[in-house]
Formats: sequence, structure tokens, C-alpha cells
Amino acid sequence: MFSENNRISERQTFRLLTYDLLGLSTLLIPSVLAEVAGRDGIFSIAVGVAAGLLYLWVLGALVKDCAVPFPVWLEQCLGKVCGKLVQAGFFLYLLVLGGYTAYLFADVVLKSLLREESFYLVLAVELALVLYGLWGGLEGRARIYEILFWILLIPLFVMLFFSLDEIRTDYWSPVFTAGAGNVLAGGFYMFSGMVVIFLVLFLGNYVEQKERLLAAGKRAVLLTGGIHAALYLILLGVFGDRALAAMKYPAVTLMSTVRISGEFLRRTDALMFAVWFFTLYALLASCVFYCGILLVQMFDGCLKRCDGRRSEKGAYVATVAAVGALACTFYRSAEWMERCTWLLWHIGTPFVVLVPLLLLLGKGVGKRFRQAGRTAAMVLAVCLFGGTFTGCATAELEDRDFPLEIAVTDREDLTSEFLDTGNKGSRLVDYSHLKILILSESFAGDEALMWEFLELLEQKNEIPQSTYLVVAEDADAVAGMEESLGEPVGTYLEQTFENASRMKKGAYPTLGMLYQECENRRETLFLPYVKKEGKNLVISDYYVWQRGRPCSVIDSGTAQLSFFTQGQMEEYPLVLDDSAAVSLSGVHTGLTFSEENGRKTVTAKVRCSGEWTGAGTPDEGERKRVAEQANVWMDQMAEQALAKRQVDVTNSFRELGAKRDWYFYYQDKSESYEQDIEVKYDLVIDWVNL
Amino acid sequence: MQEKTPVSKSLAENIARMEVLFDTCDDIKKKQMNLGIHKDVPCYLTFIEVAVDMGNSALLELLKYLRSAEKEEIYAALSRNALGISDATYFETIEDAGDGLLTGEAILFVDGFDKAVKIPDDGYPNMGVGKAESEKVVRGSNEGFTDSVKQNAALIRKRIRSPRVKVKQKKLGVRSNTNVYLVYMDELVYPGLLSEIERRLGRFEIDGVLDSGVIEQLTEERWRSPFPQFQTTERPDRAAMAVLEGRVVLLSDNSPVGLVLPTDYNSFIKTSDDYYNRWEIASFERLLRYVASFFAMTLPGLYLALTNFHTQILPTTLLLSFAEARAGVPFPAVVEVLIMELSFELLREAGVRLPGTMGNTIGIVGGLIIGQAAVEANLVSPIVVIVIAFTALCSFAVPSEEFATAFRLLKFFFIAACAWLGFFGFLAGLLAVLIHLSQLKSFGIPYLMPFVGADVNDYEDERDFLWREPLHRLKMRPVYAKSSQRRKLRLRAHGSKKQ
Repeated sequence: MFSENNRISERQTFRLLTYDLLGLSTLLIPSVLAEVAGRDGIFSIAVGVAAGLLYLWVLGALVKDCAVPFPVWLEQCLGKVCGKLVQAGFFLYLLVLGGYTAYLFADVVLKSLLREESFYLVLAVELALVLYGLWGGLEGRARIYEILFWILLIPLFVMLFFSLDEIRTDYWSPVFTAGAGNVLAGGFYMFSGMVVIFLVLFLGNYVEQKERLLAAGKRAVLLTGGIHAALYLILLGVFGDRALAAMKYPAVTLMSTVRISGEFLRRTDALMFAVWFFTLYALLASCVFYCGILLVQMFDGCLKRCDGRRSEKGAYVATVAAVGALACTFYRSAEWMERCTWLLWHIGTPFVVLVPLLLLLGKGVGKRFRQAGRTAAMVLAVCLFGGTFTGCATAELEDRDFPLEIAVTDREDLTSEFLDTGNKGSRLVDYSHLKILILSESFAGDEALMWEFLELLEQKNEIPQSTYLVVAEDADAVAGMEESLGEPVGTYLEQTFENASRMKKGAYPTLGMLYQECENRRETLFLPYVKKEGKNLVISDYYVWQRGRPCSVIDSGTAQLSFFTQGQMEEYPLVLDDSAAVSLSGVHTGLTFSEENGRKTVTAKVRCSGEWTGAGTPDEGERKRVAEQANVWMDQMAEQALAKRQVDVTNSFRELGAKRDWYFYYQDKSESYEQDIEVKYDLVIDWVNL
Repeated sequence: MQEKTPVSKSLAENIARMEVLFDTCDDIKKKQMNLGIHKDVPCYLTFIEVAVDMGNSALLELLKYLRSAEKEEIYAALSRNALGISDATYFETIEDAGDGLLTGEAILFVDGFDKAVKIPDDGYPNMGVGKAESEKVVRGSNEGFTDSVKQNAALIRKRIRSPRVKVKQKKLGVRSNTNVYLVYMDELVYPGLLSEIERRLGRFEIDGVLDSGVIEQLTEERWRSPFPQFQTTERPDRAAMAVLEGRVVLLSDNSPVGLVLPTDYNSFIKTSDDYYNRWEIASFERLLRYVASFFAMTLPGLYLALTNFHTQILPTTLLLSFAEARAGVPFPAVVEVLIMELSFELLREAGVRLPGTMGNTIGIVGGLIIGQAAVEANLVSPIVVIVIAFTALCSFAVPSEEFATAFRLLKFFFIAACAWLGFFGFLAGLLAVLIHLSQLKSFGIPYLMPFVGADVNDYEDERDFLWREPLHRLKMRPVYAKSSQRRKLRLRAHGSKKQ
């Protein structure tokens, strides 16, 4: 029969620790890694995980000998005064971590779910939940995570799986560019994110077998490391290192950009937020729980009059109040937050690592070292101590306006649409279903204005990142075509882009891609240039957005060649002369970079399936001739695009990672790239129906 | 194989053996009397009280005859099988006699005669029990508990014919003196559980216990919780199943509802026919009921969160049709949902109170006419009617009425949380409910078993939770049974003759 023995199983320990490790680190570490180590961040993760396992080994050696609760053991080992100082160190670390987690928790909620709600209200709700959760003790908490574990991780894995489709693997290269120092620095941050594993020290007395505790800790570290590695590669592949470094909560942003097949749910970011809701809650609850335990132990003399459970509850209330106060301080003062987070990373992490290490050394080497360990622990505790001194008004559905397309022609539009109250008449404008942004050509061509525009949109964060962009000579006229089209222009164009049988999903640029390009500056994007033709809208040309800057307009044929070369077309029809018509599909392009006599050449080795759609059945000679002719035609198109429009149809700049010397050379001279190169095609057609 | 004890010629010995075999079986009547015209033949008659009709049966006729016969005549009749009853059966061992008793017949021991006589009677089938009104099943017994505690105990005995099924009688209610039976399997139940139940039953003194619901409320540990910590059942097969799992069934006189304890979330979701149907469909239905229990609590709240806060989740066409449907409705969505929910609860209440056919009429009138009229009058939008109807369907799919009430109440909590804080409110509410459930226990068993703490039974309980594995794999009893008695199924090798 069950008894209330305050014991938890190995599975509960593993899940509890995994949740403690996942929340904060998956929110913050990817952008930090991208900033510090860029594309080599994956190695930093490996370093961090290895350090985490090593650290766990140290903790394991301590836990084995720890027959009493860890805070009591500290006093037994270090003496009452030193023990209490080290307890205070851990307490402060957990308190600041709790305050920071509470702040982040509320901040993410406000940014992702409730933009106009009060920070204090959200904070109060989450702290009330923490307090309620702690009333049930550790067993109650462990059960929550045991039951939630797969309920949250399975959707997370599914979403990560869906996002694989949006990865551009070119963003992963070149590697080994960051330098060992940066990789190690990234490793340190990764390790800092995992250092919460030190909580196993406190868990020692809550599990039946201590060996199982370490096994659970090891599995938690490995699983967290695995998730981090997968998440980082996906984020890097989707956003690119620079855009990733500039993002605040990239994992949450990823969820808003991933498209799920079937369109049953348009966006899942709000649903997926549950992952961070529960993991951040787990860490926050852990911080308060162990702070409470430490507080009771630190003031055990004063609390002797109270019974154990009452004093624990009192300690939780006090800690929750302190955590709440800290979170409010962080919210009101960015300076304080920076200072405290710096302390967390740079003093807190070494403290929680060094104390167990010194305790272990002291235990093994003898009294002299033990004394040194005590002194070091004391100094660290003193350093840490010293260091710390330096809703509800929503509009109803029918009272909202859901624009499906917006025309932006000049600065005035930009102001009236987005900066004013956001109300259209008496109705609230809800941009969550905006499908198309129609930019006038003059607006799109003004780089400064576009930057201002993109910055404004990113800041307001109301327009979905999946909104398509089109350019038109007269944007207002295009936006006003609903009547002649018989349906909203946004829906019409979205369907045109998504149902275009020849184009692959994701071929057309979205707002999110433009945001990323403001940081990454690697891509050549082709924005459809739409024109009114009778009662219909047609894509006549493409507006080229090259490495975060407006470039020029190119004809549809050249743009299609580019889409084909980049593998974004399902089928590419090619009519070479009256008798030779082929349909190319299943393309695989490999770019090679070469340099001869100072002339740089990019060769696109294109291998694809070819289906003869012209009259008759060609013999082998005819087939060879057609392939050669197609090759020549592609070379000419690419050359023309380069010479006349400065557009590289192969979009080779983003793949420069494969050519390291070019990559570094063009970091600061990207504007001359198209002038320096020449593009050649090497087309191989595998005929399929002959 | 256990050795059997022969029936002795000494009546005292036989009585002692029967008392040991049927120890703590307060539903079994044991009567000693003297037969013969000179009252010189001591005998012992034992039977399950409600299974034997003492007023008008072969037993009565036999007793009349034996009472008026001479001693020698009685022994001669016994030894020659000349009692005048065509299918009287003689048992040579105490255990066989016990089995005979459990078939619902009377057993007679006569001093100086080394056999027990089974005297046939109506037995279990003729007890005139009704059908279970709730907990309907597609496959399985239709019998339901009645208002008589003795009959209810017999209905359990009918399904588990073992002397190890114990029935402990208690009297509750200072003035009502209500009979309460604790039915359990001797070797399976944790002794600690039994003493804890008895402790809790002794914790209160009340003037009258008129239904098992009174006992339930007075003995619950967390009585502020909306979730019941006792499982209720009107089905004897369900109760028998619980007894076989090592649980205790509490039957109260004048109540057709038995209490099963301890219990957990998973038990409330299970139905009897989960085990009678094939595992694939049983698993599918179980999963469906889990989903239903979730939506019964959260769907109206989720609707409000999605339409008022997080419109980006819905496909555009769906969202626009929602908006169009709401055009002209004078109330905010939250008021609209509350109006519909309260109307539905009113209809339900009215339907329950009215007699059968009128209750059905109210359902049809309410559902079809009032709903349609409300939509046409623009009081509510059609989509809200759909949401509320779907929520109601979900709550009906939860097999236990008591358990479903928890979701019905929490639904209003979720409506408030989601109307106030959108999806954040939803998550906060969900977490609060989860915290509450994780702290809840029923007689020491975590309410969320086997989702939590399944390691205690070596993860065997996970074979029968969200889904039900084939019966071939359900070899162990759940965690309620004593750990030494967990095995319930042993498959024999094909063709084996091993007993």
C-alpha cells in the first residue's frame, strides 16, 4: 500500500529533472549560442553536455555519502557557520534564478499570449500556482511532471519534425569558423543552462536508491542535450545564425513559423507555448521549493517552536514573496536584471560547481584540504552574497476586423495602418489572419523606408510571420480588386501561391524571411510582382530582394529558372523550339565554386528528371541535343540576369559556406559578389518516359 | 492441491469448521436447531439469507417433516436419501458443502451423520432484482443493485462463489441503525485498508444514514474537492470485479448504489464491458472517454480563449464563419456561453426530476426547440450551441455520473479563466486542476494512478489505463491488491493437463 513517505521513483526523478533543465535553457541558450559560437554552437552544446555529465559525476560522489538532507550535511561537513554560509549561497542562487525565471515566465506569456495584459497579474497567477503546487510537497510535484512528460514532449517533437521541412541546410555551413574560445564560451553557457542539475544534491533523501538518482540525472542531461542539439540545428537552419542571435525567444518564434500540413490549425504557437508554460513552472516551483528547504534549515533555531510542515509552508510563502519582488524589479529595471543575470551566469554557476567539487576534494584528501575547501566555499559564498548587493478587455469576434490584405504605398499608410490606435472605425483590427502585404514598387524600392517598416512590424509583432509579400505598381488598386475577383485579394493571392501546382510550398517569400534577411543577409528572395490584367491579378514579374536590400525587377522566366535551380519547383516546363518541349522535375542542384585567372565561376550541377512533352519520340541524339540546348539556354538566362540585373539565379551566396575563402572575403564586400562571378550550368537530364 | 476436510459425525466439529470457513460472512445465516418429535436430533442449517426462501419452499417442507419424525426415522431417511426431495445432494467434505452453500442453496448438518445435505431452493436467479439505471453496457449483465443490502451482497456472492469473500456487517446511524456491509476478498485486500475504512466509519456519529452518499461524504479525506474519492456503482458485476481486484465494496441498506474503494481517475473512466469486449474496441472507447472527460471540462473555455484571444490558431475561413455567426448577438461571447451552459444545466435538472417519458420530452423540447429559437432570436450564435452540445455529449460519455459532475463544475472555472486570461488562463487552470489531482488520494492510492507511481506495481497497471491490452497480457491485479497476491491470470501451455 502507498504511504506518504516523501519518496519519489526514478521515473519521477528523471522527469522532474528534465523539466527543470528544459524550460529556461531552451528559451535562452539558442540565441546566446548563435551569438557566441554561430554555426559552431552545436559543438558548444556537446561541450556543455559533457561538462554537465562530468559535473553530475562529482555530484554523484557526494550524494552517495550524504545520509542526511543536503543542507544538514553541509553543516556537518563544514561546521555550523560555514555550512550556513554555503546554504545562504545556494539559497541566493536559487532565489535569483527563481526571480529571473518568474520574470521570463511572465514576459513570455505577455509576448506570446497576452500582449496587453498586466505583467503583475500574470506574475501573481503563476506565483499563486507555484504556492498551490508546493502545498502537496515533493511527491505531488513529481506526479505532475510524471503525467505531463509525454503529453508535452510528443507535440514538441512533432512540431520539430514539421519544422524540418523549413530548414535550409546551407545555413549550417561553414563550420569551424567561431574559434575554440568561442566554442568553449558557448559550452560554458550551455553548461550554465544545465547546472540546475545540482538539485540532485537535494533530491538524495527523496529517492529510494541513490544510484538510481544519478542514472535519472544522467538520462535527464542526455535527453536535454539531445533536445538542445536538435532544436539548435533546426533554429539555425530555419533562421540563420545572425537572425537567431538577434531573437529573444527563438524557440517560441519557431513555433509561430512552422506550418502544419492540412491547415486544420493555422498557427500553433499559442498551443505550443504550453511546453514553456509547464517547464518554466517546473523550474520556478523547484527554485521556491529548495529555497524553502534551505530557509528552514538556515533558521532552524528560530523555527523550533513551529512544527516542520508549518515552518516549511511559511518558508515557501516568504520565498514566493521574495521571488515575486525580484521579478518585479527585473521588469521595472533592465539594469538590475542585467546585473543579476550576469551574477547568475558568472558567479552563480561557478559557485554551484565549485562547492560540490571542493566538498568532494575535501572529503577525499583529508583535513588540510577540507579546511581549504571550507575556506574557498566561504569565500565564494561571501563573494556571491556581496555581489548581490552591487487583462480582460478583449474585443468580441464580431467587433474585430480581420484584414486579409493590406496595401502599403507610402510612409503615411504605414503610420495610419499600424501606428495609430489600430481601430478601423469602431472595430479592432486583428492582423492575425493577414495573408498578403501588398507593397507599392516605390515603397519597396526605398531601402530606408522598408527598414523602418520591417522594424515597426517586428516591434509590434502583430502581423504573422507567414504573411506573403507582393509588390505592385499601384498597391491600392490591387488591394481594391475584391469585387472583380469575387473574393478577398488576400485569399485569392494566398491560394494562388499555395495551390500553384508547379511551385513547392514555401517557395514564395514571407514576412518572416524578410525579418531574418535583415540580420542574415545571405538570401536572394523573389517577391511576386502582381499586375491587374482585366478582372484578374497575374504575377508578371518578380521583385528581387537581395541580402536584405531591394535590388531590381526581373522577368518571370528568369525567376522561375531560379526557383527551379533552388529546387523550389515541382515541375519546370521548358520549350526550346517548336518540336522540343520538355518538363523537368525532381531537381537536385549542387553548386561548385572555382576560380581561374581571377575569374570566379559558380557552376550549378543540375540533375533532374526530364519528360518529353513535345511531338514524336526523340532518339538519343535528339535528347542529347535538347539537353545541350537547355544548358545553353540556362547559361544565357543566368548571364543576362547577372549582367543586366545583378541577380544571381542560383542564389549561390547563401552557400558560400562551402567555399571558406570566398565566404570570408565577401563578408564585407557582398555588394560586389554578383559582379565578380560568372554562373555556368551543368545540366544532366534523366529521361523518364522514353 | 489443498486437502479437503471430511464432514465429521460430530455436529460441533462441523459447525466449528464451517465457522472458520465462513468467518466474517455476515450475510450467511447459520442456525442451530433440534429436530425430531422429541427435539433430540441437533442440527445446523446454513444458507445465504436472501437466496433461500424460508416461507414457501422445499426446505420448509423438509424441516416440517424432520421436526415430526422419530430420531431413527430421520437417520434412516438421511442414509437412504429418502428425504422426499428429488435433487438433494450429499457432500462428504466441508469445502464441498461450502461450495454448495455458495450456489445459493441451504446446507444441513445433522449430528451423528457424516455428510452435509444440500437442500435445493430458488437460489440466486429468483431474487427479483432490477436493471441498473445508470452504467449501461452493451455487453454484460443487466442486473443492478437493489435497495436491500442483503440482496446486494448476495448478488456479489453470486458472481464470486468463494468462501474467501467476506461480508462484514456494521450498523451506522444512531437512530436509523442502517446495515452497512463491507464486502471484500480476504486474501487480496490490504489489512491496513480495511482498518482505515473502519476507522473512518467510526469517526462520525449521525442520527440517520439513508443512502450510501451520506457515508461517502462523511468519510472522504478531501471533502472540499469536486472529484469523488469513492467510486460508486449500481452494477454487481462491477462490484465483483472490484472485489477481485482487492478493493472493498461498501453496501448500505436502502441504497442501490455501492461504494468502491479505494479508487482513482482511471477506474472512473473504465466500464464493465471494457473487459467483455475485444481489446481493440475497448481501448478505442477508453481513449475516447479520456478525451471526452478533457473536453467536458475545457471545451467552452477553449472556445472563448480561441475566439477572444488567439484567433491566429483557427483557419481563416472557420474564424470568419464564427465571426459571421456571432454578428447580431447582443451579448459578449462569455455571457453567451454562460447562458447556454446554464440553460443546459437547467434542462438536465428538469429532465432528471420529471418522470421518465416527460424527462425525455424536456430534453427534446430544450435541445431542439429552445436551442433553435434562441439562435433564431439572435440570443446565441449557432456555433455556441454546437460547442455546448458537444461539451454535453462529452460529459455524458464519462461513465460515472459522480465523476462527470466534477467536470461539469470545473467547466465554469475554465470558462472564467479563459474569458479572463485566454490560453494562459486555460494553462493556469489546467495546471491548478493537475496539482489538485496530483495531491488527491483515495485511501492512500494516488488519484492519478497509474499515470503516476506505476513503478510500485512494476508498471503492470499501465497495461490497463489509456488503453486496455489484450486479456492475455493482463496477468496481474492492479495495485490495490496485496503485493503477494497480484497474479490473477496464469496461461497454461497448449495441451497441458496441469491443474
